[in-house]
Amino acid sequence: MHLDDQDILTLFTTKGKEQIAFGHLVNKYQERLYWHIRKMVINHEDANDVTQNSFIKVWKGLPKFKKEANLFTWMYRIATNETLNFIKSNKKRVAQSIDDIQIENRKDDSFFSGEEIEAKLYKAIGTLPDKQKLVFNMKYFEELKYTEIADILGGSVGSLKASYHHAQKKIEAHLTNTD
Amino acid sequence: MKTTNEHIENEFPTLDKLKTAKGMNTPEGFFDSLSSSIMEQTTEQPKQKKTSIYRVFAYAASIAIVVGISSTFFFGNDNESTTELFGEMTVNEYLEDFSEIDLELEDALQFDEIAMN
Repeated sequence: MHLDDQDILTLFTTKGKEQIAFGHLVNKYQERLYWHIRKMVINHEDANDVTQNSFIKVWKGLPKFKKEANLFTWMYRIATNETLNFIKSNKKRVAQSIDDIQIENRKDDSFFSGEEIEAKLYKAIGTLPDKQKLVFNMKYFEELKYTEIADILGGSVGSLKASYHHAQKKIEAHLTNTD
Repeated sequence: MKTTNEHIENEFPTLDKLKTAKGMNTPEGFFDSLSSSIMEQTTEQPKQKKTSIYRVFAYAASIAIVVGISSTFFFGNDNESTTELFGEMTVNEYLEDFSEIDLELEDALQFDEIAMN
């Protein structure tokens, strides 16, 4: 069972309990943040590195974190920034990771076991601009509310809805394209 | 009003079917090792807000040093100008001199009173 965010923060402010509190935080959010990052960078090893870096930033930033703010949103924002920075400085590598999603002979990729149509889905997502990709992943896979996505990425709910709709259209077209 | 899911079902049927798609995997036991790797990097305690007090002291100390150095220049010059005015006169000598002037004034007033009477 996971502790409530406020309980984790209270524990963190107790002298000598910082690491225990942070351990709870890692256990509670590591999977969500990993998948959030992985869907953007595709490659497992890269996602592993970016996830670790994100958590280290969370650890360093926690003493300054204001209790009244939303911990989950703050952590997501850190992970998103880390991911975008990684993509920015490793453009070719990320593009290669998207190309590497095997539509045929998927057995070669031990970290991708999906069916052909799933591989096609990830390739289609890979064609989206970064911001649109983030909106799509956060809504489609992570099922976040538009208000939560707005808190993390910025922008209005209306523009996020429009962005998500455009993304769906592009991906659907990509998936139904028989070429 | 349509919900997001209904919207996908009607307009984007392929996407709707893939909603539960996993596709990507992780090595077995990955999340156990991930949390351990993260925790290993957090052996050093994050700097608490207390450190900012030390920073305030550091700022105060540096300001004090700057003020001290600059005052040496300013007041040093003033002292020089004071000795120029009063020569080798010490503070006590200076005060004694002025007390003598006061006495002289008192004497003069007394003489004036006698003359008036």
